[in-house]
Amino acid sequence: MKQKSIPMYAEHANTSGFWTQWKEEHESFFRDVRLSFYLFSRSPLSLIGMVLVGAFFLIALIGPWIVPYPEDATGAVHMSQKLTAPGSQFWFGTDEMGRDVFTRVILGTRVSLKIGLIIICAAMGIGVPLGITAGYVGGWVNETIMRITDIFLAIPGLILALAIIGALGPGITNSMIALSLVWWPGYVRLVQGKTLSLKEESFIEAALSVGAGRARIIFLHILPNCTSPIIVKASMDMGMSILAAAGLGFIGVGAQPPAPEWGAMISIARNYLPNWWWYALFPGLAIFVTVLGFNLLGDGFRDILDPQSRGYYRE
Amino acid sequence: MKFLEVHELSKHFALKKGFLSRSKGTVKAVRSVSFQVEAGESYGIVGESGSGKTTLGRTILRLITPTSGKIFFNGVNLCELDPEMLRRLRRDMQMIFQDPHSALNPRKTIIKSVGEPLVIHEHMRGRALRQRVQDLMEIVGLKKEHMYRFPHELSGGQKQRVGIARALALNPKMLILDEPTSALDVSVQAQTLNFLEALQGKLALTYLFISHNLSVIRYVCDRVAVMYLGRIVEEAEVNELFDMPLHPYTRALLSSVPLPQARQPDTKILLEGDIPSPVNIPAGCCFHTRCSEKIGPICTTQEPEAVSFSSNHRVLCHLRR
Amino acid sequence: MNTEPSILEVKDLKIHFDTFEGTAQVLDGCSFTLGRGDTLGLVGETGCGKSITAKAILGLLPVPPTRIVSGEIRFHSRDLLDLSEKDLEKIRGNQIAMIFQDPMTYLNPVFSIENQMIDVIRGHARHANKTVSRGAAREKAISLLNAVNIPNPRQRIGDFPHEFSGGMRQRVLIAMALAGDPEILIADEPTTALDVTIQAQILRLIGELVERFRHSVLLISHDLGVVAAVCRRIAVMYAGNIVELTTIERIFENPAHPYTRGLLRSIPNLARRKENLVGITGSIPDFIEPPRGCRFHPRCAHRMDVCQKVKPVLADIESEHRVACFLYESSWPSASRPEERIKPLP
Repeated sequence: MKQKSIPMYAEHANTSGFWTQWKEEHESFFRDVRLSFYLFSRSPLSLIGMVLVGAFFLIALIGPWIVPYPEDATGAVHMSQKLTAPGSQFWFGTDEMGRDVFTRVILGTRVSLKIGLIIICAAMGIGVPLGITAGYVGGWVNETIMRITDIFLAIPGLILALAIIGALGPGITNSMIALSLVWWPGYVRLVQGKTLSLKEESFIEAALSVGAGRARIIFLHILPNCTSPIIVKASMDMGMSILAAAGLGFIGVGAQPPAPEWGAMISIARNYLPNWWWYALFPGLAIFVTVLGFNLLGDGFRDILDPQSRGYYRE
Repeated sequence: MKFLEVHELSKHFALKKGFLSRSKGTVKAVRSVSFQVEAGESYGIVGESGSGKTTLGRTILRLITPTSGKIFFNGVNLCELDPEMLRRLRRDMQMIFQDPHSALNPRKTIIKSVGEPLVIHEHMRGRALRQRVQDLMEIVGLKKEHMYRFPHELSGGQKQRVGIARALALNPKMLILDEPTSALDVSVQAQTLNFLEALQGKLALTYLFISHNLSVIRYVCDRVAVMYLGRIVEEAEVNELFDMPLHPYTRALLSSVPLPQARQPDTKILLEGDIPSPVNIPAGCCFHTRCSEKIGPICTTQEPEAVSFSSNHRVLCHLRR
Repeated sequence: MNTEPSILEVKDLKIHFDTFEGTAQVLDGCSFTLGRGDTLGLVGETGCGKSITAKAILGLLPVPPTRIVSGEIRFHSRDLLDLSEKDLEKIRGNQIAMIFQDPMTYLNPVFSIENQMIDVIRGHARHANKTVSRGAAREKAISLLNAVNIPNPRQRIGDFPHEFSGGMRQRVLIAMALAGDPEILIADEPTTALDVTIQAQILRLIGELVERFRHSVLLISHDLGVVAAVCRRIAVMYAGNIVELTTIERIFENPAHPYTRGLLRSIPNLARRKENLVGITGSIPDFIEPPRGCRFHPRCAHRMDVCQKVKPVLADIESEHRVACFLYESSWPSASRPEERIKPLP
């Protein structure tokens, strides 16, 4: 509908050197980034998600340096101050061993981040290549990959994860392996579907007709166009995988006490409800806020990366 | 030796569902099509949806492997080439796509799209690539700064020019244009058609022009083939075909086009019904289900053979035997 | 201008569209009338505002980011822009019906044609505070399908949308538009998705229906040929303005606005041997910062100083021929002072 007014510094580009050239080459990219920020800023919920996730990452990064009682992360015992209510000394109160709940919740952030990132990266690492292969090659390869994926999707994820942990033994590493193994099928489905629809686009045909090989088509044409849905799904899944890992910690097959992991903390804290409510409340809140943050962020990403809504505001 | 010679070319697609179910029939998209194109001419293929004209174009470029038949391009049979040879031969034959927007990767700037063939075939990069792309942009009438834009920042006409620039990158001898202007507005269409014509003169290109728009075909082409359900039903020099159509389908097609003039001609031939599905092609003459000039049972039972009317005019109809 | 009383009057409609880079002025003071039994074609290229006009009449524009800045749309002396969504619902389909470009997207694939048509017919009856039994609605649906020349409507009514061909689906959609017995039919590119032989069938059908039921028709199309086949009058739009409004005969025999002339010179004519197409140089303007004065002036070969400063308004140059162009200043009726015809820019 509208023609972009194109700045006319092209004439002196040759004389004014590298910087102008660089700016000219990347102007469109920056305009796209600005549009993303604009769309993002139109949605308060996505902004809240962004802030929550930002805080989560920040706390995970600097946690060990800001906590008041770093030694409480592990097996320290201060029986004299056990189950103290929240106050100026212990913001979130203390647990049954007298450890500071605030310290443990903060340090739990890093554990959760590590769990989430590793699970999602592993799931993407398995799922994305399989999905692209299935979608692009098609035929029996597609059928084989997709039917195996269907089998995995047919079994409830947590049950399968429990079975895998049953075989490997409990622990934080094993629960990450188990969750990674049940998480990939979603990515296969997503990427395969996207690949199938991209394959029909005429720019793929155009690339073929100028002689592009298979690797070029997959890595330079299909994969970059799959990134948007993958990013959306990954940010939603971050929250879900942290929740799942906390769930495993809660039923006692994930992280083992005294490791400062939220699920494992709640697992013990529930024995002290309702009188010593702070012990369960704060780790629970941490899980809640984290999952909420990632979901809101994912929703926001979906809106800003949707080509239709981009086109809408661009025109 | 003709420049392009298509001989008895057919393309059938099997309709399949899932890996346990059996084939549900065959789409006969192109059925033994033969024609020849001279170097430097514009050969038009016109037809409605389902006529197989798009499949024909893609088969000639070997984006689709034909079921049977031969395609001689400069005397080389494209159907017998191995993939590597084919890749090299594709330099000489390029395609312009219908929807200029979806023909460009939305995540790549124009310089990457236009430069892709140069990177693949000539391993160009850096300054040399930028210079060559800039030259190409100049040829198609775009500015240098358009090089660094994303497709969505250009208008439809500009995007189509980018598509043309990409096709020209390897100095092809022939362009297959698949509905190159149907996504464009008429004023832009006129610019693009004129530009394509000038380009043909300048670079000595041969055009295979595929379109459903009869007016555009008449404007651009030297010879025209009319396709219906996978067959060429009539082929003639352009003015002869438009002024003296012989096949009943061609006549109906021509009279269906609403003319941009105040008084519409009274002698409209309205075709009854729809185009039959290419899965279930009628026996005999494939047009008999809609034809108002049937001459008897021969039309429903026997497939007509091509009749040469004059040296350059052949028609597939029992009526003209 | 039109002897019959107008039933739809669009007056100085201005619509803005908020975008990331600013406000796009997509419709810039558009006025026309539609009389009973009148057939008006809105013609223009992509982005000229023809579809937006139609959607505004039916109240189908998404409100943010669209903003209706000024103007009125009078339908039987009521301003449609003032009506509530509930009142609009009563008018939509009942009194003003729309036929869309792509029939498949406007039919629900999971319901049979029978179900969808009965729903529409009973919905219209409900709005008129009447009740219609399913049986009666079905009979009416069959008679409507008959009216749009669907063969064997009694057998085919139970079919699902995908069992119909493109042309047949468009007929079904027309039948549904007729269900409420509307006064005005708005057809937005009704044949663009169809093949030419099918297009010819649909255009003939629309022509016959208009003759039979005396609907008023607003036909929106980019194809001058399609408009010529159906309409009596035509409005040519460019960049959010109507630049010329006249009869079909005049537009082809005596086009006045430079844009109309350029448009006509851009269309290859099937019936004639090759002649040179001229085209229009340049491209459609930026809507966020549109050209001052006449929006066509950057592409116009006849531009004068005044064109770059003042916006021309539609004015009669002869009976039933209105043009928005300063080239015809001298033929404006002397009774009305030209200053009144010219709107100074703010």
